Amino acid sequence: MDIRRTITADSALLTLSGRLDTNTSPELEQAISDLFRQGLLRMELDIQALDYISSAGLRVLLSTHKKCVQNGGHLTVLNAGEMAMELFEMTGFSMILDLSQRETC
Amino acid sequence: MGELTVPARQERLEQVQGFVEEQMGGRFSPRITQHILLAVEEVFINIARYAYPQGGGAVTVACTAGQSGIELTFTDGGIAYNPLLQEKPDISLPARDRPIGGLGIYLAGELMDQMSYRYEDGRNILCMRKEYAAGE
Repeated sequence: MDIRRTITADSALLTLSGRLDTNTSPELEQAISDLFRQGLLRMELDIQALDYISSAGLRVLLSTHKKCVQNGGHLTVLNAGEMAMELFEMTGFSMILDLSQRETC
Repeated sequence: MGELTVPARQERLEQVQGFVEEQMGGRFSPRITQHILLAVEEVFINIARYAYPQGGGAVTVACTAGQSGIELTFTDGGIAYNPLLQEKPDISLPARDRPIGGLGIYLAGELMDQMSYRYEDGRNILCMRKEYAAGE
């Protein structure tokens, strides 16, 4: 998995590509906890270029969502593809996550 | 069809998925292929994490293509454990009440057409099936 970071004054965009699985999800967890440490609580994750996501990835999304909410921040998940949307629906995440379609650069 | 035996360690995941993908030989659409590979991850990782608390064990993945579908069997010699008895997550709960995790085997069950478990001769045998036409 590749993680591209775009950080502005008060928010962060992480653009993910590749596989978000059991073995790569700790990298995302690390990237997100780095943002928290910098006080960035408003974040966007662009998952359009992810070609695979498993329950380990879903786990990071839910824990990040919760942590953002608890600390007065916000997580937006951008550009979920077909596979991710199916998983979000099967797990009820579609009702929890703020999902949005928007072009990023 | 084929069989692969690897150490039950999570860094073998891509090898196991690569093997299964090769065995499927394009019989499924990309979407269903992804579903099967996800089920493979969830089952394999469950074994890698829990079957051998002392480490050092192996898991065998066997793949059989029949007339109507594909069958994947995971066999390990670890502690007896039936993952299919895991409680189903309540997917209607709001975020604050949702536990983190516990979705892997549930998702595998949703994405495959059949899953069964038996313990035989000191081995955990988990079998899952996907029909060629189902879910398309």
